[in-house]
Order: sequence, then structure tokens, then C-alpha cells
Amino acid sequence: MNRNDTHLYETLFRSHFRLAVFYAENLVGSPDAAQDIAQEVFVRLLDVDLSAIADPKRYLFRSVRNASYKYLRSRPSGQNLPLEETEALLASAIREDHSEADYHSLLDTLRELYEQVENLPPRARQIFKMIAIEHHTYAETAEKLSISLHSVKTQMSRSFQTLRKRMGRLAGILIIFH
Amino acid sequence: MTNNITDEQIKEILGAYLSRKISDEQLLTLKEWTEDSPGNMKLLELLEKSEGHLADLGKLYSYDQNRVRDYIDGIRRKGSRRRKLVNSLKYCAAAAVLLVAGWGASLWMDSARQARTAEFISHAEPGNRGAFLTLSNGERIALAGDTTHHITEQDGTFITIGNEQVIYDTDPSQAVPVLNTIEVMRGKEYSLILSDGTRVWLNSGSSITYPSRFSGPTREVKVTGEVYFEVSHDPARQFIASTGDMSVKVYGTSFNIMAYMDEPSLRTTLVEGRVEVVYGESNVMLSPGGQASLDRESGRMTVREVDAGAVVSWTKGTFSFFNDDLPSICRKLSRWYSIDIEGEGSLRFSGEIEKYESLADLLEILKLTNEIEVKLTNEKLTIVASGRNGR
Repeated sequence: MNRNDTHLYETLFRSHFRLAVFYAENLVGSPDAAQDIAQEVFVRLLDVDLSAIADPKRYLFRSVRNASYKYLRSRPSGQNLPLEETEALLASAIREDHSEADYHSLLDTLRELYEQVENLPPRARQIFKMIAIEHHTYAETAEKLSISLHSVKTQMSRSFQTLRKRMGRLAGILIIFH
Repeated sequence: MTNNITDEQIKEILGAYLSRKISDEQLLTLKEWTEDSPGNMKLLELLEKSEGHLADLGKLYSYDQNRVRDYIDGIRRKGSRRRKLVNSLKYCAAAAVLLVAGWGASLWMDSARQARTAEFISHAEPGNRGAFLTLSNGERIALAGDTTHHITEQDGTFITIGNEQVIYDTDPSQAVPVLNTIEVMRGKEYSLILSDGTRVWLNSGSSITYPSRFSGPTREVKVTGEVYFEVSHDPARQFIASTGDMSVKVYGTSFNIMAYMDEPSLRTTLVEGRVEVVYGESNVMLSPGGQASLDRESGRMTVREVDAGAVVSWTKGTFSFFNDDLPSICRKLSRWYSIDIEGEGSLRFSGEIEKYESLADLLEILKLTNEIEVKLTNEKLTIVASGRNGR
């Protein structure tokens, strides 16, 4: 791997590893298996000349998808489905959930937000992570108890805009009484 | 105004804000906080923007990226090692090698197995510089030999990482100091300078926890594994390094602590100055060249004279053995080459070996004594004394 390739690889890893796991988890349903799949894909990428690939991100997600299918096919007996059946199953799962295009636009949105979070100063980033991970835990709890997320989280009544306005007004009061 | 707000408090306020259940008082604090730094404002905006995706982002952050990072780095090292070996597979015994041992006969080994073992050994890389720094907020930063970072801790301490060192620059007027930890994995080594100017070297599989600034009447740190200190002189504030039940108290001096969990005894060796080693009710004063050894099993502390320079030679790139038995030598090799190596038998060696040698070269040197045999079983090397002087 030359210097240039190493740089490409590093960038791809930092910005896309977690998204690759996310994508794989959506396909195989298990976060642990998804992490192994993404790891395997990134290990194989070590031997790939990334600078020769037109769209490395697309290549990455395709590799993750293929590896996920392979994983589903190779699961221990009983869960072993023929290839066509697996793909049909996956296709229908994707159709039910989101259309594939929708799904990729979700990934794009997440990638953008993730990038912005990663660019926050360290302390702000840490706080963001803590809040996000807590929300993730809420969402999981809600799913486990099969109730909607809305009944777990507080009902949202006012908009952020109103909050911001109140924030401004309160500051005015502060100046007066200080 | 919001300088004293903790991450936990602001997290709670932001949570209340997101769920629109925020009180006026909290709103006010939030406003002040966002005005504290542009980063805080950006965080608030990003949270608003992420509404609806927060759970997914949280999921992203629940994946263990560092584990995979380490795994891939490991594979990469092995890959480059293979290339290096092809280019320069040369046998170079360190000039300083001086091995004293008995003699015996090496046993026959079937050739396929021998080849497998040689191949396995050829992949064992000597260690290199690297560590993990854990900040007070729990953030874990990988420190490599050649990266430069600038970090500001919560108490305002400015940390510069780079140029082979971590340096602490503190503002004494700031609030309560925070705790940092440097952890050095198997196959790594690291060194740093604490805020009082004390120099610290960490051997493979070691750690040190220390405050970003020493504010109290004493300077206290906690260590595991093997650590060498050159304590900066400060007659007013005693320096205390503790590991489990044993602590070493000094004012300004150089000493080495070896307290690996898998070693039968904890050892403090004094290079320069004067230290007091305390364990429970017992304590001993050491003078240069003195080594206090605490037997884990019996809890007994004994003192002997040693070659202190040899004890700390690991900070200068050398393995020094003096009358060490195979099991203890193998534990050292195992930490440095990050593979499992176990020694059997009571054969003892003395001598010095460059620690940046490949394991293959190093084992060749040991084998020159015609006394040992190397076996590979399940990814683990076993080194046994093969001659009649063995076991």
C-alpha cells in the first residue's frame, strides 16, 4: 500500500467504518455479526488499490452488502437458506422497510450528520455522543417493550424556534435584574 | 458564568431542551453555555438538526471502532514485517551478547513442524511506540509514535502530544485538576512528561493514572506493570507512586517499579537518590542500587543489591537478563513481541540483547547455547530447556 492509498484508506475508515456496520446490521440483524462483517471488508480493502476505484464509498457499501449476503447464506444449519431465497427475503424486507433508495438517502443523511459531529470540538463531541447514545438506548427499550418511541420520549409541544425566542427574552430579563 | 457547569449537567439540560420540557432557569443556563464557545452553539444546532436521527447516530457510536482499528493495525504491521524480512533477512547478533548457560543437545524436530514454527516466529514483530490516553471525560485517544495532537482538558490544562512525548502545561489558577490515564498495550512502549516535569517511561502492558496538575501537598500517581520515573526535585511536595498495596515515596530521584500481575514479586529498584518503599506496616529505605522485592504470596519484603542500570536498560532499547530463569525471560518477550511465549524449566541466562531485534534473531541467539528447544502449539510458543541441565 503506497502513501496515497494509505491516506485514502484512513479517510475511508474514519468516515465510513461505523456506517458500514450500520448498513450491515440492517441486512443481517445482529450488531455483533455486522461489526465482524465490516471488519472483514476493511481487512480485504487493505489489499485493494483504492486510488484505482472510481467511487470507493460505493465500492465499500457494495462489498458490505455482498459480505452480508454471504454471512446470511453461511449461517449454521437450520438457518441455511438457498441464495435466491435469501435475496428474495432481503429484497422484500427492504421494500417493506424503506425502498433501497430511501435507505441510501438515510445513510447519506447519517453520514453528513456523523461528519459534523466528528468535527465538533472534543468536549462538545463527547456531550453529543452521550446524548445520542442515550437516545439510542431509549429507542431500543421502546422496541423491546414494543411501544412507540413517542410514548417513551416526552410529547413534543413547542418548536425549537419558540424555545430560542424564549431563550432570548430570558436573557433580556437577566440584564435588567443583574 | 457557566465555567463550572459539568458535562453531566449540560447533558441533562440539552436533553430537556430536546424534549421541550426545559425550565426557564435551564434555558438561561443553556443560553450562557452556548455563548461560552462557538463549539457549544454548533453542538446545539447539530442536535436540533439531528432530531429524528439521534437514535441512529447513537447506534453508530455504540459500535466499537477502536477494537477494529487495533485489529487492522495488527494485520498491517505483520504485512509490512513480511516485506521487511524478505528484504533483509540477515542474522545479526548484537555485539553485546553475552550469554552464560550450560550446554545440552537440541532435540530433533520434524521439518514441516519446524517450518511452521519458523514462519510463526518470523511474524512476531518487536514492539514500538504507542499508547492510549484516556481523558477525564472518558474519551480515549490513540497515541502513535509520530502524530501530533493538541488537547485542552476540562480544567484548562493544555496537552501537547507529539515529538515522542506527552507534555502537560497547566494554568495553576484553574479549577480542580482532572485525572488522565496512559495505557500501554502489549507490544508497545511509551514515555511522557508530567505537569511537574517528572519523566515517565512505560514498558509494554503498563499504565499510569495521574492528575493533569499536582495541586495537593503530595504528588500522587498510580501505576500497573513496569514504569521508570525520573522525578523532578521538589522538597515541598513528596512524590508517591503506588501500585496496589505497595507505594514508593520520594522527593526527587530515579527509580523503577515492576509490578506485573503475572510476576511472582513486585520490585522497586533505585537508580539515584533515596526512596522509601511502604507495604502495609513494613517500610524500607533504599539507597542507589538497592532493590526492594515484595513476594506476592508471602507478603514478605526483602532488599538486595542489583545492577540498577541493567534493571532500567529497557528504557534504552535493551533486554538485560541476569541469572533470570526461562519462564521470567519468556514473560518479558511475550509482552514485547505480543505473542504468547511460555518458558519451562529452571535454566537461567545472563546477558544483554537488543530489544528491536526480530524474535527470530533473538531466539537464534538463545539457541546458540544449544540448550533450548522451541515448540509451537495453538499459536503459542513454548521454550523448554532441552539439555540434561534442564528442568
